[in-house]
Amino acid sequence: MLKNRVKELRARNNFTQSDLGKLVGVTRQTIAFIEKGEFSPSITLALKLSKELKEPLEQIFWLEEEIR
Amino acid sequence: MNIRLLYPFYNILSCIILLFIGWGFTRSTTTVTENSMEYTLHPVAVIAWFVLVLFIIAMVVLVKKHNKKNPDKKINTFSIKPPEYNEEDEMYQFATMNATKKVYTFLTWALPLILALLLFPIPFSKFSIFAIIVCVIIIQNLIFFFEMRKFKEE
Repeated sequence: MLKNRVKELRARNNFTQSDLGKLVGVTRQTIAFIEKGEFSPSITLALKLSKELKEPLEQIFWLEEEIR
Repeated sequence: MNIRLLYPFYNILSCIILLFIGWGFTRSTTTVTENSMEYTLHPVAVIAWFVLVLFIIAMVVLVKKHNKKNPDKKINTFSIKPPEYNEEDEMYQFATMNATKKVYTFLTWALPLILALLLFPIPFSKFSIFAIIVCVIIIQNLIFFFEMRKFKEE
C-alpha cells in the first residue's frame, strides 16, 4: 500500500486542501483521498505535489513494506 | 449532494415513469365499430405522460441552476456522454472508470441471461419485456451510483 506525508507537509507549508488542489490542478476531494491513502496519485500528480510541497518524491510517498 | 452523483437516480426515476406509461399503453383499448375506430388511452398512461413532462422541466431547471452555479463544471444535457460521468480530475476519472467497468460486467451477464429467459416457452407480454429492461436500467444505475459514492465529497 502506498503511504504518504502529504497532510503533514501541506500543514507545514500552510496550504489548505483547496490551495494545494488548485496548485496541482485537482479537486480538494482528491487531495483529501490521497492524504487518507485511499487514492494513489499518478506519477505526474505525485511529481507536481513533490514540487509544491518542496520535498523529494521518495520523502512524500513510499510503499508500506519499505523501511524509510 | 453533487448533481452528477445523483444523476443515476434521475435516470431511474425517468425509467419508472416510462414503466407507468408502458403499463398504461398495454391497458389502452381500441374499439372498432362499423364505421369508426376509437383508441382509448388508459388514464395511467395519460397521468404518467404528464408526470414525465413535469420531470423533464424540473431536470432542465435543475441543470440550468447547476450550470449557473458551476460555470467551470457545466453539464451538457444534449451530450452523447452520460452526465453522470465525472472526469473533473484523475481521481474522478478513476472512479468513473471503475463504475463503468462494474456496469459493463453487470450488462455482460444480464443481457445474455435475459435473452435466454426470453427463449423459454413462456408467453411474455409486451409489458413484462418492458419491465425487465427497466429493471436492468435500474440495477445498472444503482451499481454506478454506489461505486461513485465511494468518492463522494466530504
